[in-house]
Amino acid sequence: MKAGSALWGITVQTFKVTIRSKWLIMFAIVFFFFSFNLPFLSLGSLLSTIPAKNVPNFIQVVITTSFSLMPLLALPIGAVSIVEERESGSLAFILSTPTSRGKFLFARFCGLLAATTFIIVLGFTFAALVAFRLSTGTTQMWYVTEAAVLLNAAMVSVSLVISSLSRKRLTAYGGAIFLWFLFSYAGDTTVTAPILVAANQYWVLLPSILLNPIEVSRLIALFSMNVVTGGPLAITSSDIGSTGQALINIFGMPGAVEALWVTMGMWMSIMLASAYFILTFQDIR
Amino acid sequence: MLTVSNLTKTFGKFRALDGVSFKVEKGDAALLIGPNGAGKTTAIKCVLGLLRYKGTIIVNDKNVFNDGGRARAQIGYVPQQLAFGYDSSVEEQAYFIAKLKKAPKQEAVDALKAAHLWEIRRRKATSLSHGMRQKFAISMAMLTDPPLLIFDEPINNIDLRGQLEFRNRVMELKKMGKTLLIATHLSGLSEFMATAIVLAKGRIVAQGTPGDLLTRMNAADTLYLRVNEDDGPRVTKIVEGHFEYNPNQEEGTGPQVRQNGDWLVFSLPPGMKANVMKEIQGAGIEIRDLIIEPSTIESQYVKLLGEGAPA
Repeated sequence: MKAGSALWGITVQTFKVTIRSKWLIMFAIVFFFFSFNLPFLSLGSLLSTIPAKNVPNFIQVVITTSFSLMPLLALPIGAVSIVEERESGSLAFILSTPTSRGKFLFARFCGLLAATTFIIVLGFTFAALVAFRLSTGTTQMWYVTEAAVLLNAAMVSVSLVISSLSRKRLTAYGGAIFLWFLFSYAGDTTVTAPILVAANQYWVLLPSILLNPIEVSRLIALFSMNVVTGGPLAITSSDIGSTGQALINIFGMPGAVEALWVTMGMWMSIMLASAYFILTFQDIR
Repeated sequence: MLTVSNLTKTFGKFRALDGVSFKVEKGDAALLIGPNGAGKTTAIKCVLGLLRYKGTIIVNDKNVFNDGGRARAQIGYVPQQLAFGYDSSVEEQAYFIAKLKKAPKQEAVDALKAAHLWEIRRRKATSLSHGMRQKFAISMAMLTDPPLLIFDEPINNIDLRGQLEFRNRVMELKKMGKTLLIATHLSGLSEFMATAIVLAKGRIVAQGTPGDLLTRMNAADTLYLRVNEDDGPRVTKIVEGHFEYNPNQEEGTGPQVRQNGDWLVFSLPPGMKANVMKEIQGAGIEIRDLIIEPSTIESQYVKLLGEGAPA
């Protein structure tokens, strides 16, 4: 009877701890309420389900409201996940076994990703069922979910960098909230993007798009629907907004979508690699 | 089994370990002794590869620096206080640790049973007393049967009974042929140890077998002698006759013979006990009872620390 690998053990333990965490439960409730119920109630209070022609609008609302909140799920939970163990001394104990730091970090990433993804998928599925009752729009919600999962994965990676760097839980929380603010508000291009696009300054806009994973994932969701579904439910170029138009101008189609996917992949891999190097070359006291 | 060569560790400008070198042979037990802040835990954490360091650490032919995983597979580590990353049962924790150490689940079950913890396997691990935690930690350290066991301050905050139990456990482990490295600032374990490494302010101030170290220090054993009441002054005279008068002698040391109830109590350095006893018997004094309390590394601790002793 084998006890299984260390990688699996840490992943399962992380999943269990995360799924039971109060923050996750509270977030799930608030997230559902704000992201789904309010738009649904406002749009569908007079109708039993959202009419097909309003689906793009509804999804736009869902994306706008939920994607800026999304980092608040993974960032605080992930940011304290290593620092908590460091403070309690259990990190030193885990790493005193043959388990390597890389394996520990990767397993922690997998556990956090599994738990937070579970909440996101559950939430969006629930929302799709409530809003569309398995009719038109459900497919579109799948693309939203896909982009949300990508954003979440990037945020889990970022959170592990914060956690590897932090010595105290409070610092980790502070770092997580700061980054959320940075991505959601300080990095918001709602005002600047139309001006830069009007002036054909696409390349100036590009870094502020790619350096903001919320914007990247939002565009992935919108582009995915536009490219795949087509027809009356397709997202129009005006739905994509100035940032989307800037990307199309620079990379064309489907180059813009590919650039967004590569960017998201880089967000994940660079952040995860950074966390690995920080943890590997630091003293575990 | 464990070779530490020229180990140096700095935290910023603070030099926690400065060129520390020692060896623990296979099957030996070594005591790493020193006051708080001497660098004992730092040295252990370097051996476990938790801290970056300068120097070389070899565990069973595996270099900790570039073959850390395999080196740690040779080590069972019992921390000062076993921390649990999450609140779960004793059983769950044991299975988790078994996974970390790539041990079969059944081995964790057997370890819990052997440590008499199987009955309380459903209890929250965080609710265990300090002594129980130590028992649990030792049983988990034994998973995969590592040849080297490292204990960090194992008897801190443990009551007397726990300390005695720990001594028995150390003896059992020695019988099993385990190599032991025990870091402590108070121990009562030196009599079982093959080597004592005395650390102060990040440097080794003394190293050797406890017997050698005590002999080098001319450490005195304490003798309790019961003789007839009338013979007391004669014994005192014989004992004191073996020492020259030294006005700078510290109070309570040297030739002073104290009366404690029926007992005469005095200290004698190594090599003098037999002569004194022979002379007492030669004087026709009947020895009704005799207790010899040997000096230990712990009792001579401050002397051993020398200049490295804390202020």
